Amino acid sequence: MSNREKILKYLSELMTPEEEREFEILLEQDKQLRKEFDAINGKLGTLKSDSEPELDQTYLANLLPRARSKMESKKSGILFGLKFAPQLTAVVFLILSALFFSNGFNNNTLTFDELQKFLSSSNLTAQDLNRLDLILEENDFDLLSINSEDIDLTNEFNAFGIKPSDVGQLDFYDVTGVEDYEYLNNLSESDFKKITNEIKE
Amino acid sequence: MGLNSDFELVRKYLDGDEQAFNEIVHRFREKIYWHARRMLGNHLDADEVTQEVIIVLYKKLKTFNFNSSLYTWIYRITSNLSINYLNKKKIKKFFSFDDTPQTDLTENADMVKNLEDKEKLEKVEKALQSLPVKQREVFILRHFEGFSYKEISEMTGKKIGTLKANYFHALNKILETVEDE
Repeated sequence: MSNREKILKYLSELMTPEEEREFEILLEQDKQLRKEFDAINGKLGTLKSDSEPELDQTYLANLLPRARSKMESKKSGILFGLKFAPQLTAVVFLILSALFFSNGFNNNTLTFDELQKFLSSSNLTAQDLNRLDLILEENDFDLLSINSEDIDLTNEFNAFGIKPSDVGQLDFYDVTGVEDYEYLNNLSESDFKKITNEIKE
Repeated sequence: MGLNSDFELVRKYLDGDEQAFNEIVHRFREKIYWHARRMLGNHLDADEVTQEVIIVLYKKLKTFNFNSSLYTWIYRITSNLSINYLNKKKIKKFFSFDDTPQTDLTENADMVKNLEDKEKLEKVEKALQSLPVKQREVFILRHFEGFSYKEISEMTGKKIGTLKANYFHALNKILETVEDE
């Protein structure tokens, strides 16, 4: 095991208590190890000290008023959406959410073929996707809003043949919910491009 | 400004004292911003998530159960919203909705006034962005925020062994990136 590996294991607390004691004794005796240890600590220290410079105080002071204003516009955006075109837009988003939360994909890894199959069976049109775009870009009708307890989408689920259990737990503050996105991280750039092109066509 | 005073503020807010909420935001806004910024790597995204965190706090403080510190609870929300934000960006990219070109980090760092500080910060952000999201989260929470593995485990729901392995790989990668510069 190289000195570097030993140091990183020590800093990560991956050593047993006995290994730790041995490492600390070695650190006192081995000048080269001490040199490398200090160098690594120095780099990490610099990284930390450089990472939080002073922020513009005006920006900080304006954060809360801006958040309040955003909260207000979000409310009105949701109300507007619910009044005029909520079902389709919400459903499109939920279909996509269902896709991402579905258990239909093996080991949470989405393959290109599986996605294509899903998209072709979901009857999504370009118009649907445009509406989704509108939701995301203009109404800010995001995952947070979809998760609102005030919105009952049972009928919309039924209309699209989606069982609520397929959608899964949509609590995005829950770590489990975040974990379900795992497969997205496994999708390669080339698959992204292929799928995008398919949709455009 | 201990744990109790945080709890006191939450209780006051739950009793209808709006000023207490302002105080909570004032107390944590900078920490929220920096955690989001380290996770996301630029000011614009960090600003967006910071506002979202404030909104979530406003809506969800009533569900705070006083079992953990307010501090760790807020970090958990910030972490999760940052990861959600990254995923949402990925989804938008996936459906070609996000045609906006990658924003120049130099332009985004305008909340930091000092030029030298900006340059240093860009290097840190570059190093952090070289990490996969999960490793980045653990590295930030442990190295920058000083949380223990136990606290991070409570926040993320991950096993301590997994967190240690993530931290080990993150350290290795970060050092490689820093050394390459």
